[in-house]
Amino acid sequence: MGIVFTRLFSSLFGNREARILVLGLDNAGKTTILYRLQMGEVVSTIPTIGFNVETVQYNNIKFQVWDLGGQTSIRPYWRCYFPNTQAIIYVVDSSDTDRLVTAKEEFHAILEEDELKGAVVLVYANKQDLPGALDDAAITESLELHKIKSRQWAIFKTSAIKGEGLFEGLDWLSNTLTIIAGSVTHSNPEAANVVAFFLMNHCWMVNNRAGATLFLASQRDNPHSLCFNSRSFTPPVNCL
Amino acid sequence: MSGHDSKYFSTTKKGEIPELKEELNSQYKDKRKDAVKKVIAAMTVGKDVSSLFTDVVNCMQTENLELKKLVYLYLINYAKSQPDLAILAVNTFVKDSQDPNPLIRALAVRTMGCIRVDKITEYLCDPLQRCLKDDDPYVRKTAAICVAKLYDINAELVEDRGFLEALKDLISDNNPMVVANAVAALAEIQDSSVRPIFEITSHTLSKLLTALNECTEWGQVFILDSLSRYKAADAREAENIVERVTPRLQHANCAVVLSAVKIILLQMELITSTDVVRNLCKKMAPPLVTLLSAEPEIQYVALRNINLIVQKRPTILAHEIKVFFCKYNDPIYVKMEKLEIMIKLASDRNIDQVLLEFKEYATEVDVDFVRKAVRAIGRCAIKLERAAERCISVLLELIKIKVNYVVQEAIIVIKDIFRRYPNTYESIIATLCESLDTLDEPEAKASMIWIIGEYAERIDNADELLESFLETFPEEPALVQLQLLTATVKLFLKKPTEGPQQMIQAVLNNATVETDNPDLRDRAYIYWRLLSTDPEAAKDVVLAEKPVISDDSNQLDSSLLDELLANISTLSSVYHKPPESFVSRVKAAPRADDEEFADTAEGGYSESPSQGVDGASPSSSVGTSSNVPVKQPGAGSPPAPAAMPDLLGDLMGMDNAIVPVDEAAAPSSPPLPVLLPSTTGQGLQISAQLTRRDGQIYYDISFENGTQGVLDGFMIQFNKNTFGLAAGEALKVPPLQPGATTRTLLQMVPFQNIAPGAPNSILQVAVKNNQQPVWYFNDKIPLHVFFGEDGKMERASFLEGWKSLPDDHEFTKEFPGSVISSIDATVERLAAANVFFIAKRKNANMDVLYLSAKMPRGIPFLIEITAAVGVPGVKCAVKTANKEMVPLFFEAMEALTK
Repeated sequence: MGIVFTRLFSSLFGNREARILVLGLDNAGKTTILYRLQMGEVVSTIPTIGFNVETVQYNNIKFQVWDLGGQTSIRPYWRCYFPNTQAIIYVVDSSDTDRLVTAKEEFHAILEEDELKGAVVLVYANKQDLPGALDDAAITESLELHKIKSRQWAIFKTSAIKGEGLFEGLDWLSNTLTIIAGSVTHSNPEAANVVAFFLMNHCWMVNNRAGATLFLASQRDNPHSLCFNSRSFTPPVNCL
Repeated sequence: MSGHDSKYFSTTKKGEIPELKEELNSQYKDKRKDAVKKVIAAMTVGKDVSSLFTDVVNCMQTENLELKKLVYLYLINYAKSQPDLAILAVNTFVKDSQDPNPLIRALAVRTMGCIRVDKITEYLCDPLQRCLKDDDPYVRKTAAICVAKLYDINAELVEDRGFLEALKDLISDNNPMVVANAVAALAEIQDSSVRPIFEITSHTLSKLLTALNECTEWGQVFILDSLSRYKAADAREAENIVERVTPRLQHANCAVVLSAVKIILLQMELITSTDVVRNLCKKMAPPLVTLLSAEPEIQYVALRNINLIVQKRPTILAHEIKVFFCKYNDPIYVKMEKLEIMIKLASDRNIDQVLLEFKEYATEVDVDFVRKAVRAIGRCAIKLERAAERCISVLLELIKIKVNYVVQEAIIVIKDIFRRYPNTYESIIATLCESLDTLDEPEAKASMIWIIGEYAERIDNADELLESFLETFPEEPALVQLQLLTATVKLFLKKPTEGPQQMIQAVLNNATVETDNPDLRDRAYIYWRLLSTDPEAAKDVVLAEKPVISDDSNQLDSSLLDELLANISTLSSVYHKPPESFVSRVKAAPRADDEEFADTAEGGYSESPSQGVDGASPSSSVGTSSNVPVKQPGAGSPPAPAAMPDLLGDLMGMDNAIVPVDEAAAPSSPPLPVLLPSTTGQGLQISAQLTRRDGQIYYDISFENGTQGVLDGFMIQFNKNTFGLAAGEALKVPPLQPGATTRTLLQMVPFQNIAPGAPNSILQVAVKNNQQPVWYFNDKIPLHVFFGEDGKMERASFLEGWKSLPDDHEFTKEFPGSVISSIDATVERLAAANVFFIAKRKNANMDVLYLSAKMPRGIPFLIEITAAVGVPGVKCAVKTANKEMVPLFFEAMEALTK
C-alpha cells in the first residue's frame, strides 16, 4: 500500500505551482500575512491600493500568492484576478465584529463567481491575538461557512503578528491542492476514490496536529462534495 | 441555405488579443516578458491593446527592470483609457518608490507623474514626498520635475501638500543637478500660475549662481532663464550677476550662450558705468558671431535673436557687419535675415561696402532675395542721408538692367526716397517713366502713379501717362484705383485744364457709381464734394505738405522689443511675437466655473433691463455687448459693433422691438403645468414644459416671483436623462421683481449627457437663483418633442416598412380615456406634433388611421390608430424597430389624443 502512495505522491507532489488569491475586507491583515508567509517576519504595511504578488515556496509547492487590496473601491476589481485561481485565502479580522456581515456578503459573492468554481477556500480567522477576537467556530457561524456545498474549505485561527496558524493553513492547502490535482489528472475513478479517502484521513491528521478545527464538507450533506470525482463514491474497502 | 452555416460563426482561432492575454498570464517569466514586448509593439504601431490592461499590470511586480520599464510604458499610454483599473497599479508604484535601487525609485515616481488620472494622483503624494527627500540626487531631481507635472494635473493638491516649499528647499540642495531641476520645475509652475510662486531672492540668487558653474548645460539654461527674471537691486548687484554669468558666453551650447546674453542684456539696463557697458558689449560680440558658424537652422535662430539685440544695442555688432554678408550657399531664410541685419548695421562708415554687396545680391537668381536686396538699398538710402545719393545711383544702375521685377521693386523704394527727401532727386523721374510699360505689379504701379501725381507739374505728359492707366481703371486692384483717383485729383488741381477735367469726371464717375469698394467710393465722394464746394480748399487739403518719413519697417515698438529681449532664446524671440500671442495656456483655475458663471449672468443682465428703461446710454450698452459674447456665448443680445453711438441706438431700438413681440406671444400660448408650487419654492413658482418649435426643442419655462424681494441670477441645470437633453444656452431671465412673472424659451439640445439604462421619460431639473437655495423638480419628457418634421412617409414606404418589421415588433395599447371627436381635428393635432397622417380606412363602425413619426437618429414609428368617432377608447398599434421607446411612445400618443 505504501508503495502505491509513494508512487502517487511522486507524480503529484513534485514541484508544482499554484495561483492563490488572498482576499478579505480592508485592514484584515492580508498584506501582513503575505509577507509573514514569504519572509517570515512582520512588515509594516499601508493600505494596499492595488495588489502585491509574491511567490511562497512551501511543501514542494510554489504558491504564487496575490494579495489584493480590500478597500471598497478596489473590491470590484478582484474579479480581474479570478481566472486560473486554484485557491482563495479569505482573511477575516476576527475582532472586527461590526463588519462581519460585510465580510460574509463579500465572501459569498466571491463563491458565486463562475471563474472560481474549482477553487478551494481557506479561511483565516485572523487577529486572534487581539482581545475580543471571535474564535473559529464563531467565525464559521458568522460567515455561514456551512452553506458551502460544492467545494473544499477549512478555517484556521491565525495571528499574523505572532505567526500562528498560518502555516497550518498552508499545509492543508498544499495537501488539498495536490490531491485535487491528482484526481483531476487521473481519470481512473479508483485512483480518485483512493485520493478522496486519503484526503479525509490526512486532513483530519493535519487538523489534529495543528490543533485547529477543520470542517470538511461531508458527503451526506451534499452529493457533490468532494467533487474531485463526479462518479459515485464508493469507499475503497480494500484500503481499509 | 442549409442549417449548418452556424459553423462560420464559431471558430477555433482566438485572435491576437486572447493569445496575448494567455501569454501574459503564463507562469513562465520569459514568456510573460515576451508577451509584454509584443503588447508594446502592438501599442507602438497603433493597435488598441488597452483591453489587456489588468493582465499587463499584473506583470508589474517583477525583479526584471526591463519588464518593469515596459509595463510602465504601457501604463503611461493606457492609464487614461482605463482610469478605474489604473488604481490597481498604485500599490506597485508605492512599493517601487521605496525600492533599494534608486533607478527604480526614480522610474516609479517619474511614471506616476506621467499618469494623468485624477483617481491616482492623491496616492502619488506620499511617495513623492518621500522621494523629494531621497538620499539619491537622481531620485530627488526626478521628484522635483514630478512636482511640476503634478501641479499641472492638480495645482491645489500640490499647494496643500506643501510640495512648493519642498521644491524651494531643493534650490539649496548640494547637488547642482537637483538645483537645476528644481528651478526648472518652479519656473514651469510659475508659468501656469497667476500668483507669484517662484521669486528669486538675493539668497537664492547666490545659490543659483554657484550651482550654475557645476551643472549640466541644460541645467545651466534653466538656471539662466530663471535668473533673467530677477531684478537686481542696484548697479552693483547687476554687475555682480553679469560677472558671474559672463563665463557662460564661452559655452559650446548655443542655448547657454543665448541665455547668458539675455541676462547680460537685461542687467546692463541697470549698469550705469559706461566703461562696463562698453566692455560687456565687446565681450558679447564674439559668441554671437560664433553662433553664425553653426548649422543654418541655428544660424537662423541666432539671426532672429541678433535682430532684436541689434535693435536694442547696435554697438555690440557694429564692427562685425562682414559676418552678415550672405554666402552664396546660405539657405534663403538665412539670407533674408542677414539682409535685415545688414540694413540695421549699415552706417556711413560701411555703406559703400554694404552697397556693393546689395548690388551683387540684386543680380542673383532668387527673385525674392533680389527684391529684398533692392528694397534694402532703398531703406539704406532713407536711413543714411549722406549715402542717399550713392544708393540712388545704384538703384538707377539696376533699373538700367531692365529686369522687370528689379525695376518694379526699385520704383517702389524710389517713391519712398522721394518722400524722405522731397525736391532732391526728382531728376530721375524721366528714367523711371521709361519703364512705365513694364509695370505689372499693383504696388509698383501704385507707386509710379503716386510719383506721377505728386510731380504732375514737372512731368510734361503727366496727363497722357495717367490717361494710359485710366483705360483699365475698373479692372485695377483697389490699391491702384485709389492711387489713380488721388493722382488724377492732384493732376487736376495742378493743371486745371480741359484734359484733366474730363479725366477727373470719368474717374469720379467710375469710382462712385461703378465700384463696389467702399473705400474707393468714399474717397471719391470726399474729393468730389471738396472740388465742387471749394477748389482752393481742395488744393490745401490734397496738395498739403507731407511729413517726412523715416524707415521704420521691421522696427519693433520699444516695449515689445523689451519684452522680446526678455524672451531671448525662446520661440518668442524667433517669431518676434510675445509668448502669450501664440501660447495658449489653460490656467489651472480652481473649479469655480459655476460661481463665476452666476456672477456674469447676474452682471450681464442686471444691466440689460436698465438699457431698455433709460434709453440705452451708449457706454453701458457697449459694456454689456462686450461682456455678453465673451462669457456667455449665444446668450441674448447679438454682439453690437461698438462703433458709432447713433448706430448703436438703432440696434438698441431693434432690441427693444424684439422683446415686446416675444412677451406678447407668450401669454397667448396655453398655461404651463406647475412643477414647483410656490409653497415648496418659498414663494417662487416654476411652471415648465418641453415643446417643439421650428424644428427645435425648447424648454418653455415660466417663473412667478411670490417672494418679497427681487430674484435674480437664475440658472438651470438638467440631470442626465434618457435622451441626453441639456440646455443649449444660458437661461435668460431678467431680475424678477416681487409679484412679477416671466416666461422664456430655453433652447434644448438632445444627446448631450445620456443616462444609461432603460429609457424613461423623467427629466430632473435644478433651478437656482442668487437669493434662494437650489430647487429640484421632476418633469416628464413627452416623446413627441423629438418627432422630426421629416417624419412624413409615403404610403408605399409605410407599407413596405410595416411588412418588413416582424410581428414581435408590433405593440398595441388601449387609451380608454381618449376620445376622437373628429378625425380631421385629430389628424391636424397630430400633424402639429409631427405625427403625420398617411391613410385611413373604415372597418365596420371604426375608423382606422395610419400615421408615421420619426425620432432623430432613430427609426420611424409606424402607427395605426383604431377608434370610433365620439366613443371613448382609442386603440393604438405601433410597429418600430426601436422597441425600448414604445412605452414612452404610448405615453406621448395618449397625451396627444386626449
